[in-house]
Amino acid sequence: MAVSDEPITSANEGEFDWLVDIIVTPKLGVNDPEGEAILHGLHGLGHRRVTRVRAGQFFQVALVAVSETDAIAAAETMCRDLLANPVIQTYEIARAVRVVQSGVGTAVTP
Amino acid sequence: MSRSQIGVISFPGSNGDWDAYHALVDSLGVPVRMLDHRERHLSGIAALVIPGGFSYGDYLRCGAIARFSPIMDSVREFAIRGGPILGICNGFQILTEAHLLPGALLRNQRLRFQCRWTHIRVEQNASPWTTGCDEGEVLRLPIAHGDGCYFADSETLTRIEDAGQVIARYCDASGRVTSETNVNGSLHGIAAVANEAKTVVGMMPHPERATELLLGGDDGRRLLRGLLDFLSVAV
Repeated sequence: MAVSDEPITSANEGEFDWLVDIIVTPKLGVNDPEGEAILHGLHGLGHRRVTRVRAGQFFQVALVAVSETDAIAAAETMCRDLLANPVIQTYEIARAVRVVQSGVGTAVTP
Repeated sequence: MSRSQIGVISFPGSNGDWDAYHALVDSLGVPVRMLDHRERHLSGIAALVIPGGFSYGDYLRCGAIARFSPIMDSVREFAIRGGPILGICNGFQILTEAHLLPGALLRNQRLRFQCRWTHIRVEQNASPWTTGCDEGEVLRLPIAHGDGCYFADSETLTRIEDAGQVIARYCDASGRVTSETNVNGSLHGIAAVANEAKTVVGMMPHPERATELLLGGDDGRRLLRGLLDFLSVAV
């Protein structure tokens, strides 16, 4: 696959650049030994008020879409296809942000 | 065309591929064709081995990226046609990610990478990969994995237990399955599972690393030799 330094966009007329934040976590009921180890670490540092930690993954996907709904729907498909394993994980689209020329524009939280 | 070759697939990051080659060619005398993950055709292949390792650096989830290698479409077709496939360690993870086997493999329960000899009890020999073993037979095989904790939801677990898809469990030398013998926290101590047809098998232990006494044990031969009978019929 060719690697390019060009900004990643192929937005045409009527399309926009979006940043979509995706959080993948272990399903409740699925063992999360990483989360438990982090919980022990926090307790060891004196953070006794912490009662549970779930460790997961965060993805920020830059994509082209015509609308917020379109961007979120595309991200959900990506979660089902690859980013999350439905046997053990759940996913959440945390937010979709439209990117304007000067940087990140208005945040649209679903 | 003769269907007498076993295909061994190499992905970027596979490290058990040449161990499998050595076991099959030098220990069992079976003709092997090494297959690159970019190949698309499996003609002349009687059975497939998906070896251990760290395909694509285990990025995202173990086996998740390998599932999209060009060869995997052919692997899927091969499985649907009833071709025998053995996934070892990372190969097991790839087969679950590809939905060719039920369940998933999680990080080991105590987060420790387990590299040691272990025993497994063969629960089912109605698979081409275990016809060389008796049910209840105990094999001593090495494991080397960080993500081998077998998980399936309770409904799936009941279904595969009832259908005899659990191929082997971790046990002690006398074949007892206890919480102490469960090296990675797998549900029901599961070390190996099969698809419904029992042709596709995934296992965390490495039979290909135990095919001669010089390597510390040769129980892997007892497991893999069942394939010889299968091949002699298929040729």
